[in-house]
Amino acid sequence: MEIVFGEKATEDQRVRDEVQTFLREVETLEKRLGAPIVIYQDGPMGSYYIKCSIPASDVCPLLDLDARLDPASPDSYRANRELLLAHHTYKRMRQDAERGREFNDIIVEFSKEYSLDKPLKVWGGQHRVKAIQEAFQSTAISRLHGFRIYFRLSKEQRTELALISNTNIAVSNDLFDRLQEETLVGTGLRDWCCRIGLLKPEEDFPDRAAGAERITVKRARTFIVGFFEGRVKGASLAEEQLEENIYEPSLCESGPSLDPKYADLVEKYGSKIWTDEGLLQAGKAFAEPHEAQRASVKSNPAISNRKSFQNKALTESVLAGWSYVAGLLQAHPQRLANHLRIPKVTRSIPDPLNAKEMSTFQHQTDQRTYRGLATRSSLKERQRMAQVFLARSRESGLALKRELLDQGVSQVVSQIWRRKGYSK
Amino acid sequence: MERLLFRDFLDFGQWVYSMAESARENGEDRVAIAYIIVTILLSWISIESFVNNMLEDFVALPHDMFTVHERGFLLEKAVEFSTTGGTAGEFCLTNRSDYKRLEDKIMFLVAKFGGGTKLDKGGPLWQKFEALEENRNVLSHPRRSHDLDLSLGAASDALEIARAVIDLLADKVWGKPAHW
Repeated sequence: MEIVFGEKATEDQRVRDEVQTFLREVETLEKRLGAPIVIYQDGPMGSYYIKCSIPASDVCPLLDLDARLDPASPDSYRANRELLLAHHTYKRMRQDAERGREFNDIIVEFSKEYSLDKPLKVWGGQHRVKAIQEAFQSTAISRLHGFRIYFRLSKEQRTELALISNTNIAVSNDLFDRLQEETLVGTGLRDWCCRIGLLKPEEDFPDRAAGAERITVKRARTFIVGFFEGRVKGASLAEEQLEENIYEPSLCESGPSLDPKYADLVEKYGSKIWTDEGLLQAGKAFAEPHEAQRASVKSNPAISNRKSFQNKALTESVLAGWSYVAGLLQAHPQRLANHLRIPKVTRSIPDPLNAKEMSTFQHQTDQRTYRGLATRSSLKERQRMAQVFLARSRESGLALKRELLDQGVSQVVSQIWRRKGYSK
Repeated sequence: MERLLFRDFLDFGQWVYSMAESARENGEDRVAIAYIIVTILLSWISIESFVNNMLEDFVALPHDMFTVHERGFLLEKAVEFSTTGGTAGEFCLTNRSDYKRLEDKIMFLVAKFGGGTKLDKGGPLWQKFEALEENRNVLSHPRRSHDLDLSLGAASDALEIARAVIDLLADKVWGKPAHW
């Protein structure tokens, strides 16, 4: 069977061999017709691929929806989105498949590095693939579907492929983050989250933050950046100076490129970052109020069982403020110990983070539409939460009572005004 | 527990004022007077709320950021010259309340945090504010020898003055308008 490299593709014997292996093992329309196979090469990443058509009956058993970015690592993330099988768009897709729809441009990688019986790893079009598989199973209808088959991909090429293949289904920033994290940093962040208890063993970061109820890559990075920023700042302050500042915990950026502050940290510390004792202690101490908060809200009928209340610790401003203060107080052990202790619950404050009080909080500088403390991730909210936690660290065993919320927020706003216009 | 802010009190005042207008249109003059009194008091409370909360924000700052007299002013606590113990010869904050007049609090806030600006005490706004203060004092401490202005105009002026004073303070101290 004739195999040729396209005009823009550089000849590569190993790719040619791999394509021949694929054609030996998979029944394609082109093979049946004796049509030549062209090997293309993508411009930006130099990935090699061919285009071909395969009947559902042949392709269904070969497709693997659990594609890995790093085939050698069993720890590798599941790279694809969760399948939304209840979504009406998917239901429509499946109906179409049952009526004989022929789908095209499904992106797969031919790889026998893992799951040997399923060598076609799906990178783009997983919903279409699922629809084809289910339709074939229920109706035995086998139509020809169009594939782009990639060969000999590197991890970087795979990541790029996963990202571009998902663009037309509105891939979430959280999925971008997850893919970037493993490709550029590794699995350290996920392992660290498992170690401190924010992810369960075998659990992965969610590909969409909304409704996930577990920490995202962005938030985990924010925690780490905030901790180190705070630690640097705290080392330069005497204890009596702690209340004299407004702190600005960072919020890591999501998206196609790695957040620059996080990238700097990873470069500076390397893998030592994941074993930093102070960070580990802070992470574990943070996971505790998160769990306690969830448990309190779930079990206490007096608190409305709202998800936002349960996951209050994971809101970006709470998490960023908390980790920043944990870093800030590394040089101030007594106050650190106060901060790391779970906030007390009382009869009037039934959950550690006092989520209801936070939700009704409003300062007179706030707009009418303000929805309460720590409901947004803006710098103002992060500053406020850092100051609230700092205020709580002044004494041992304090509950996050209304006075503390007032005090923290008042400190932020009055420091700003004082700097602006105080006259001696 | 409700969290009421200055704008809530002024909202209530506006609402009560509209009821005063309706009562007056319906010839229910005594009902209208009741609503007018409440409007004037709520307007005053709105300013008090705004100013007191602003002072309280500064109280949250570390103690040594202000002089003991400033701190006494912010907390409305008396400052005394100590003659005994370790603080002998120093001015000290006591637990004794020392309530300040609203107009003094406003002057203090503008003088300390207004970036060097001063209040124009001869200007029309301050004159109106003093008239409102007088009316509110007469209402809060009534005597038969005092005249009361319980017209619809007095009530609507009270609302307007409260809004203007709060706007002025927000501009001077925050450097931005109040959110109504």
